[in-house]
Amino acid sequence: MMKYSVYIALGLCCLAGSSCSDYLDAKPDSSLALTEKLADLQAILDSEIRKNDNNPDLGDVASDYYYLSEQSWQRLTELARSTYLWQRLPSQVNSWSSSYTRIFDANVVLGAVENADVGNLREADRLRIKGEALFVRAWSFYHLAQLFALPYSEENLEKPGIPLRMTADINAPTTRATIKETYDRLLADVSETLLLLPDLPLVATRPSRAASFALLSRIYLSMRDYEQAGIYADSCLQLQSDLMDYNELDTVKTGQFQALNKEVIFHARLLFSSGVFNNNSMEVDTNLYRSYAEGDLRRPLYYKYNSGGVLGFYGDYAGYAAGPAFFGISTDEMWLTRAECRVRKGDITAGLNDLNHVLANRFKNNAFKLVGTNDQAEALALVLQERYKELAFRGGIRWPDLRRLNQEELFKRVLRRRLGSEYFELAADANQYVFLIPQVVIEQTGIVQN
Amino acid sequence: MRTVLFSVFLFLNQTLFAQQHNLRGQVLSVQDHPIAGAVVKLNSLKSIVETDAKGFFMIGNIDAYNTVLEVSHVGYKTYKATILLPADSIIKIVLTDSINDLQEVQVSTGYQSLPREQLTGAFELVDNKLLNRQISTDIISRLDGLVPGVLFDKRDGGTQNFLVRGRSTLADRVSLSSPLIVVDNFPYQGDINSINPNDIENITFLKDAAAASIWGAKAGNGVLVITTKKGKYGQSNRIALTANATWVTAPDLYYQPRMSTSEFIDTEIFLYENGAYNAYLNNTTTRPPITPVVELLDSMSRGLLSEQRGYEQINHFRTRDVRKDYENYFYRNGFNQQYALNFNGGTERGHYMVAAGFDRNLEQLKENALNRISVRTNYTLRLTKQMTFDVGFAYISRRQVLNNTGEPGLSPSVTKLYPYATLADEAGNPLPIEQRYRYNYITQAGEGRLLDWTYRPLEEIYLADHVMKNQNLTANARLHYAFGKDFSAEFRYQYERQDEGEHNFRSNELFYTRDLINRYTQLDGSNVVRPIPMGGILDYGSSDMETHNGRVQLNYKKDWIDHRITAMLGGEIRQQAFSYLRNRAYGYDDDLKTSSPVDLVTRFPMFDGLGSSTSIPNEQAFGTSLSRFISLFGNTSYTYKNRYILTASIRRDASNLFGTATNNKWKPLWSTGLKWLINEESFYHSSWLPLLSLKASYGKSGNVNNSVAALTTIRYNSSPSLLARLPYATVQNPPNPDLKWENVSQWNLGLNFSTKGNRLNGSLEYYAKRSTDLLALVNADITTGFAVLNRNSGVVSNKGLDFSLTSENLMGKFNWTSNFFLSANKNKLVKLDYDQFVSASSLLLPPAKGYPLNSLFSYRFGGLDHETGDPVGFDSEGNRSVDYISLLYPQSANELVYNGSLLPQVFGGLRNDFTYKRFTLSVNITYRMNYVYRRNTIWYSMLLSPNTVVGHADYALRWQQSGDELKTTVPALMYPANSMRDQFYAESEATVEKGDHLRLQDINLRYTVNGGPRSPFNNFTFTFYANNLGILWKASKNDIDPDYTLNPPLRTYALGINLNF
Repeated sequence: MMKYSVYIALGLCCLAGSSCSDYLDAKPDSSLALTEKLADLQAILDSEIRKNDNNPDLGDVASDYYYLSEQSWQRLTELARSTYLWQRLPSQVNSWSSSYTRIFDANVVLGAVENADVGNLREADRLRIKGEALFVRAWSFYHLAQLFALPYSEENLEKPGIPLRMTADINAPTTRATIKETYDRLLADVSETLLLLPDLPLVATRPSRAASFALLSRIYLSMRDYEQAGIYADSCLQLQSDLMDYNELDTVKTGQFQALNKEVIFHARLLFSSGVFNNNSMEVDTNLYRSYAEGDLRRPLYYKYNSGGVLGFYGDYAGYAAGPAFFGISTDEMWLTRAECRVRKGDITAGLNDLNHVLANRFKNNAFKLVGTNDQAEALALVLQERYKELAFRGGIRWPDLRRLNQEELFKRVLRRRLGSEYFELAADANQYVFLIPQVVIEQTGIVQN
Repeated sequence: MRTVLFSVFLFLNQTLFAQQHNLRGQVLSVQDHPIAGAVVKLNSLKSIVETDAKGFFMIGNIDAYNTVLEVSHVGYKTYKATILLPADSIIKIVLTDSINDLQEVQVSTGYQSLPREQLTGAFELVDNKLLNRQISTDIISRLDGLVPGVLFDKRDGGTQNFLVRGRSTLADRVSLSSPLIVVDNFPYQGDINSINPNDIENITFLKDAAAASIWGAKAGNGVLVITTKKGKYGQSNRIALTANATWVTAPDLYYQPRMSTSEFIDTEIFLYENGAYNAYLNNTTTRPPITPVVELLDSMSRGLLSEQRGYEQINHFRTRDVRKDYENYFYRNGFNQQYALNFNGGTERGHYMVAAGFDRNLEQLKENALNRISVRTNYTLRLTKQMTFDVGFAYISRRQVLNNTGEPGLSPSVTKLYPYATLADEAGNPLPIEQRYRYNYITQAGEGRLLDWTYRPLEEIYLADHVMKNQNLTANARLHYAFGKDFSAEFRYQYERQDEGEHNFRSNELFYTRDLINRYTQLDGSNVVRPIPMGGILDYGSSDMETHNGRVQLNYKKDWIDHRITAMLGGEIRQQAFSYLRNRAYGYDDDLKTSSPVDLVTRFPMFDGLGSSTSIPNEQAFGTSLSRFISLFGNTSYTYKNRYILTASIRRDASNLFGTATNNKWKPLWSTGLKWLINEESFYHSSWLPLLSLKASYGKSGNVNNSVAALTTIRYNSSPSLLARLPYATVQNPPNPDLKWENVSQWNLGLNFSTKGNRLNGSLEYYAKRSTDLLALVNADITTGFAVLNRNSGVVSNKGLDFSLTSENLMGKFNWTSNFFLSANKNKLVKLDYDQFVSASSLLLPPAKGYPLNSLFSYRFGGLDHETGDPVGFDSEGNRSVDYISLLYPQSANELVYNGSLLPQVFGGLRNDFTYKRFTLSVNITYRMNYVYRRNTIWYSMLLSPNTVVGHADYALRWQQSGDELKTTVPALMYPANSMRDQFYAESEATVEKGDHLRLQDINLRYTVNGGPRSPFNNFTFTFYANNLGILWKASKNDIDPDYTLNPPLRTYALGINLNF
């Protein structure tokens, strides 16, 4: 009988020994995966919710292309109310956290992409995936820099920029880079993607070289390096330049603009956390609305009254029915950037040609007249005015534009809001052009507040 | 040391001159069951007879006066006594079990069944009698208020959550803080509520390390061992029949104090006048629903309705209360029927048990029902002298009808209706109500070419067809082989399978289907294009879970004169595989069982631009999961001179926990214990305290949290991305190379005593638990990409006492027994490696060390401002402040007030059982002390947003003018509202209430009749049972029941009958 027990004991030892390590390596959940294969990394980057949605809306809440009635303002949360009135309260965490969530995802991909198994993808996909991740991270850094760091300028170079998190390691400390470091990183990362990404994407929810050129153009624009901004806008347009002819759209019915339409270079949407961007509360700035001429199809296509006389925005390039949501890059923006940069360079004719090309697609065929002038300042003012009219209600564009134009004597402006009987002002050099970092971040990391 | 407990009742009827006598009698077990086939010997006569099926025997022609009677049967202690003859009446002879006599209660750990005296750990046995005091469909709720150290946490309204000896994990998921449940030796993976309580013999709680650590990495929260009923060797065939009927009172919809309908309508008028509805009224794109009062106000202001007519209507609404409609049309008294049948018996070679049960519950929500059929059987065969074979099967089938989805909401985001909604007309006919879109829009949209777009909630209940089916099959086998006297080996295998199926058919009579079809409909000239085909929508899904358990175990047992050793060594392997699939069919015809394919890729425009273009919802999903465990374990016990007992156990577990390094998978856990039976010492002579023992134990167990992993894991979404239609995944957790299993170590010291004749017996236990490496969801720097992170970062201690005392107050014709228990638990967060974000909102993790988990902290409250009625707090310097941003985010926990624990720190019960003749009355009073709760109050920011839900009744108590601050703490109404101001008040000291209370938990009244020789039954019992009878005393004046802050407890009344043949 002792013999039997020895056998059983031996059997138990075997159970615990070699074979069980295989047994215990089985995957516990079919939907779970490690970041081992390229396809897994691609899947992280194809999450539209995390990658394309939830871009920070702080700058747009504070922008000038719309206003709120007192009643609509009253319905907002305290923090959205204060952002609207440019009162400096520690901003809502969402604009910060959703961007850094996207940065974390990109860092996970960048940390794993070199050693990931090819799986059923190809080696070429490895480069593309790396390029997509670099783009996504730079995209997020760029938008954070427009909200939480001072505008790029010679005297601000050594001022605090944003935390540049380059790793998925949650134990890495959070520190603020300087503005120079921030923009150096942006330019280096986006430039690298030019070697990795395809000219045009499979679908515009994914980045492409066209999108990278456009992003570089935007970065240089925010640095007021108009030479470079113009070059990259041009590079972008070499790859994708199609415009929709608004004459083909129905000005009466809503729902004329679809997501991923042919002008979209990179699809993105803004956060809805502030509750501002809703057609039935937010109203189009009266002066902006008046600035559209007779025969300008953008007027009936973009703006409609609801039954209460509230003039809302219905021209969303993300196909959103209830208000503005698009936060991405489109070809009309690049046409207008190139136009501006050409005019600034002194090439007024070429600049106005670009502008006229956009307007020809926006005006009723029979009502369109070419715009022209020989005066550079006049031409520039014209281009900037059309830029405002074309790109109002596209997230992430107006706020950086205000920040850079306020540095120019000719275009700086004071923003005003009225609420009931009270008036509020935002001066061109006001410190409200930099938002306060969320209080929780300051408390947990000790980084300097703006 | 065993004394045989027996009783002989002689009903003598002396006949003086009789010379020849007959002796008649009945042989019964302790449980009052007749014993058939017992051998009855009368030595004077040398005659031997056997008892019949009802345990009766008769011996005739006896002439001696003094006779020694001997009754024996396998499995019972032999009974021997001198009978004085003549004895004309029937004598009753009670045989006690030879193995399980009353003193030697066997306790099952799931690995071994051991006599209670030999255990050094903390066990708590709930025997069959105690389990059957209550009448219920499930087993878990029967344990509430009965077991020392076991606290039911009913804060979320459930009856199933309980903690053993305090909370020892920081995980907030209930499944991670609740004990391991073992049914017949293996962890039960199915739904524990599906088990028929009538099939259960007893339940053992394993509370300390010496008891529980044999279960290793899953025993950190304690273990509950459920043993089902079995037959016995050599026991006559028995049949037990049980029938219960339970009435569950309809829910009290007026429990949560709420502002009046009239106040709500005034709020709507106020908001309307402030233009808050403009964005809704003028919305010509998404057309949000508008409540009737606002529609009337709008019509009046647009001149479509006269002021007089309009306000008449509004004043009529003021008298309405939708809760009356809910009471009349949605709810009813629940009625539960339960029937159970049990056959069992045995011979010397084996025993068997077959049980069947049927339950039918009509739920409180009308039309909803639960049916359960359960069959359970087991057989034991003694194949040879060495070999025993057991086999068991259990099958449970449940069918749940879920047609009534409860109180409807106004839209997907507003989960309640306005308080004056009218669900039915005077005659009870269903009326349409506003839902999802504006009512006067949907009634004209499409000019009759759309499906009816109105929503009639009452109709829905009767048109729905939502069924969930659940089947559970368990099969197990055990082979036990004894190698001679000392050694034995045991092989056990159990297979468990649970299949679940869901069928939710929504015909196009239901709003959900009509609404979905309409939303995608396009009217193109005279064409009606419907991307979602006409017909119903069927959501169906199924899941199956399959578990294999295998166990090999070697047992050794040896007795010498002064020494005894028992030892056990074994290994276990376990695999649980789970898979599910879910799908949807559009255009489904329930008669023909046909469906139509749809285009799930194209983004279709919404009807009339009501929303963005969207593809048709794809409800297809698949998934599988697999968990594997390998364990090695051993347990030994050494007894010296019957008075010193030393036990030790060890266990190692490994699992395929995702991403964990292999070296971390194997985690050794152990325990040791010591017991001293003082009364066995030669120097101990106390006659009034014949039983006295001391014990001590220490050991470690673990807690597995499968929801975290050491490497970065991603989870694939079951459907492709919205626009690109590409597969995508979401990162679940950041890399965490330091991940470890949670560790729980525990000391236990115990004292057991019993006075002479067992008049007073009890136990006192002290424990100190320390849980380390606890995975806590700690606040992270959001710049990392995560707001919270799971990290092994906490240490929690639990110290406490469990005291229980049973007293036989009166014995005799009138019998009175009291059972009292008291449990005290002091829980404390000892350490947290990461900074905790300080706020009064955290209900699990306290904002500072040294406080219990589930602490209640509040903002210091300085009353209301004399001028404004604003709630006032105190800033870090102690100055009065209304700067709510900084008040809500204090720098340190010192700025908050600690109110107490949210879980009772002292609790217990007193159960009194009275027996008089055939009546038994049992009354259980429970108490819970030393804790607090937060009552609800008004949130203006919620109330003052359009399309809101009705607010709290505190609204009426609000500050309205200077001076009110002396009478009330409820802040003034403020518009626009400030949610931080609301939060500050709601989480301030002003809303804290003491929870201490005394409750009449339940009453059980029984009437038992024992059958005579000619009766067809052995005994039968009538039971009346009432549960949740009410609070006898509470510390707070607030009307809310401190244990049920969401919904009131359900009062139940039950009638039961139990027949034993």
